[in-house]
Parts: sequence; structure tokens; C-alpha cells
Amino acid sequence: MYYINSPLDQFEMNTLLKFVTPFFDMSNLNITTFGLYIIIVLMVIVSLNILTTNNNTIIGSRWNLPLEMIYDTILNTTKGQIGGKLWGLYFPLIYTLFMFILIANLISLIPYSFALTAQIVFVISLSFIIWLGSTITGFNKHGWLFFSLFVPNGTPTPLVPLLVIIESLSYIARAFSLGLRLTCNILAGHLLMVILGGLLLNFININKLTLILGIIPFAMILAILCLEFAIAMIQSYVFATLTASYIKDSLYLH
Amino acid sequence: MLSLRSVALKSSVRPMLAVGARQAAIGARFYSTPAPQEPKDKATSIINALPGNSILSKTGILATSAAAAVYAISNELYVVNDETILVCTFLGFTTLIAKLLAPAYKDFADSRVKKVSEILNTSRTKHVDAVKERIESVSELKNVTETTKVLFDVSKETVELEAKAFELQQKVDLATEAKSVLDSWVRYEASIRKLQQRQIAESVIAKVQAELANPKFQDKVLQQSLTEVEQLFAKAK
Amino acid sequence: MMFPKRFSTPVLKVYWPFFISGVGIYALFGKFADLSANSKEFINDPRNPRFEKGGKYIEQ
Repeated sequence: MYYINSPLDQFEMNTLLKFVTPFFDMSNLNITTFGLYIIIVLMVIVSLNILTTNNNTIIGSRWNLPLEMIYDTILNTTKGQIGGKLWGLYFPLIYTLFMFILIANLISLIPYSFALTAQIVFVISLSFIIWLGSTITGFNKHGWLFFSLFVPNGTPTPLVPLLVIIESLSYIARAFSLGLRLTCNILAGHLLMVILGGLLLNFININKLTLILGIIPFAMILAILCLEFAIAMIQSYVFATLTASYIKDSLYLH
Repeated sequence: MLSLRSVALKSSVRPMLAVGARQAAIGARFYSTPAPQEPKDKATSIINALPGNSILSKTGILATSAAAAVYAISNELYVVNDETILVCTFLGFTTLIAKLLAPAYKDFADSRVKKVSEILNTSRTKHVDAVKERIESVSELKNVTETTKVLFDVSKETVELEAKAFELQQKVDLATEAKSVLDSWVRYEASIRKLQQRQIAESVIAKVQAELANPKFQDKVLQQSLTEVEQLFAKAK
Repeated sequence: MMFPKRFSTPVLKVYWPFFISGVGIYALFGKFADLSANSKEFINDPRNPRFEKGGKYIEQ
């Protein structure tokens, strides 16, 4: 017997497969709900890319078309954001991030499923990895000149110390904001839908009149679900775009 | 996601058709009393909406799913809670997508695929045509070896004829040379003979004149002419 | 399954900073997780993995 008591219970993780080992602690390899959904996302992406090619003919099936469009969109975004000569090198990373986050978001919208991108630790550490990785790239490429990123062009000399403090704060805040933007949207959307669902269930259970009247809030939840689908796509796109722009900052400095 | 949407698409197309048919029936009987076979129509429309061929299997599916739902809820295998509403909204969303977005997307994707395949096909036919054209242009030269052989023979013959002509030309040259040499000889000899004749003639004339100057001869000629004249006179007498 | 084509994209050459930062952030967040698990608030939480290894309730 399992009742959902709190709206936050949908984000609870359970261990599905445990490694019990005598000498080494292998609990890091336990398959939890999270791991299961990571595997599901991987399978979906791989099968989307393999099954839709119409047995490797030149023209893919109808399902291949959105994949091509996504690829094209991300390609153009990366080209527009990073530009220069190096944008192509970072396209695989950004496309992978986009596809992963998109599929994870969409899968999480299926009822009774688990929202990967609502796990704050996961998404924040992902954004930290991207932030630190792009910072290391910038240092490797420019050396100490990298700090010129913190002084905007055409700053009056007396304002330089203040601006450096502000810019470096905003640069550090990127590490949080990139992940928080995504995870808060997904978390808030799922919470909102579950809370509204619970309210609607209570409303329906009052009597027969409210059962019929429940269609109106039901339609509202339906609209919110459509909105959630839009948010799922927009947030993954925003994440990819911002990643591209952060990488651009450390590659070309302004 | 993938399978759910396709299933929703499959299952959602039929009931709407059935519902449309039923609504037409209602419109026809709008002012009449409710038709007695109305529940039966409804039942058949629901049955038609289900997958399967025979009525038995369709009603079987309906009955089993209803019984399963009732059993699951009553035995608390399935608990109706907040997520149930979300399941309903999700199903509504998938039907919305399947009804509204999927056909439009299908048209778009089909036209797109058609366009791309048309481009590919036209380029392929173009390529084939180009290759064919090239083959045709090349195939005009297919008996090129024979032509070259003939040309070679002709050139060989020409060379031979030229050699022969040169030989003949040389012969002709030699003959003309010889002829001119012989002619010059002939002219030389002729001039020499002329000279000799003139010398002889001159010597003879000189001798004759010397003879004429001799008085004995003059006498002899006179005597002779006198005798002739006498003879003539004697005849005349 | 036949894969259509392979492309030789430089992975290690371009993405090594991200791999390094991945390892670093993993260690950092692991440390934070340990700190949080051993904090006053969660040391006796039944979800604490300490209990699965035979840990005992700690009175504070």
C-alpha cells in the first residue's frame, strides 16, 4: 500500500538494485530510481536515433524529421552563440545536453514517472561541471588574461574595482543559476500539477454536482500540462543555449 | 512516450468517427422522442472504437478492462489519488495531440519527405541522363580502331606514293639533265660543222676565183663559148 | 545493428577540462553529501546509508 501523502514524495528515490559486497563499498553503483530513469532516457535517445533511420536509407521515417530539425536548431544555436572557428568542437556537448534534458523532461511528464531534472543535486552539479569545465578551458586558452573577462570594454578606471567584483560575482552565480533555472521550473511544474490534482480529486469527491463541475479545473490542469510540455522544451533549449554562451565567453573573452 | 502516443493515436481515431456518426443520428431525430435504440447505438459505437475484429473479442476487451479496473480499485491494487487526475489529464493531452497536432504533423512530414525524395529522384534521373548522354557521345567512336587502321593504311600508302613520286621526279630530273647535256653537245657539233662547211665553201670559192683569174682558163671558157655560139648559128642556118 | 558512419571528432582533446571538472565536482559534492549526512539533522534519519551498514542510533 502506497499513498502519496506529500507532493514532494514523487521526487523520492528508491534503491532498486543493491550491490552488497564484502570488501569494497560498491554502493555507488546501486541502481536507484534515478539510475533506472537515466537508463530509460539513454534507451529512448539511442532508439530514436537508430530506429528512425528507415534502415539507413537516405530519407528517414516521419519520426526522423523532428530529430533532424532538433539537430539543425541546435547546430544553428551553437553556431550563433559560440561562432568563430571553434564552435563545431563544442556542438556534440551541447547537442547531448539538449537531447538528454529534453528527453528527461518529457519522460518526467508521464504520470507515475520520475523527474530526473527535478533532482536539484544532479542538475546543480551538472551546471557546476559545465561552469568549471568552461573556466578551465578559458584558463588553459588565455592564461591570466582570462580575468579580462571581468572587466567590460570601455570601463572608466575608477569604476574598475567595483565592476570586477560585480562581474566575478555574476560569473560565479552562473554556476548556480544555470542549473537552478532548469530544476526549479521542472520541480515547480510537477509540484503544481500534483497539488492541483489532489485539490481536484477532493473537489470531485464532494458530491455529484462537483463531479460534473470538475471539468473546468480539469481543463485548467490540461492547459497547465500543455504549458509544462512547452516549459520542458524551452528549458532544455535555454540550458543548451546558456551552456553555449558560457563556453563562448571562456573561448573568446567577450 | 513513443508507444503511448502511437497507441493513443490508434485508439483515438476510431471513437471520434463513431461519435460523429452518432451525432448525425441525434440531429436527424432532434424533435422526435428519444429513440429506443439509442443505448444500443451507443454500445455499438463504443464497441466499434475498440481494436479487434469480432464482436466477441471487442466486448471481451471492454468487459475485461472494466472488470480489471473495478477489481484493481476495490482490492486497492490501484489507489485513486492525485496522480489519477494527472493520468486523465495526460490521456487528454495525448488525445489532443493525436487529434490536432498529429494529422497536421503527418501532412507536413509527408510533404517534406516527398519534397526531399523528389529532389533526390530528379537529381538521380539527371545524373542517369548525363551518363547516358556521355555514353552516346562516346559510343559514336566505338569503331575507332578500324578507322585508325584505315587511316594508317592510307597514310602508309601516301608515304609509299610520295616515295615513288620522288623517285620518278628524280628520274625525270636526270633525263632532262642528260637531254640538256646532249642538246648542248649537238649544238656544239652543229656549230663546228657549220664552221667547217663555211671554211670549205670559202676555200672552194677562193679556188674558183683563183681559177677565174687564170688566163688559160679564161681562154678555154671563151673558146668553149664560141664553139657553142657557132653551133647555134649553124643550127639556125 | 549497422552503424552508418564514423566521424573522428576530437573528444579528449577538447573536453578534458570538462572531465577534470566532472571528477572534481563529483568529489566535492560527495564531500558535501557526507557532511550533510553526518550533520545533526540527518545523522539519525532512517534514510541515512549508515544504518544499512549496521550503524547504531547516536544519542546527541
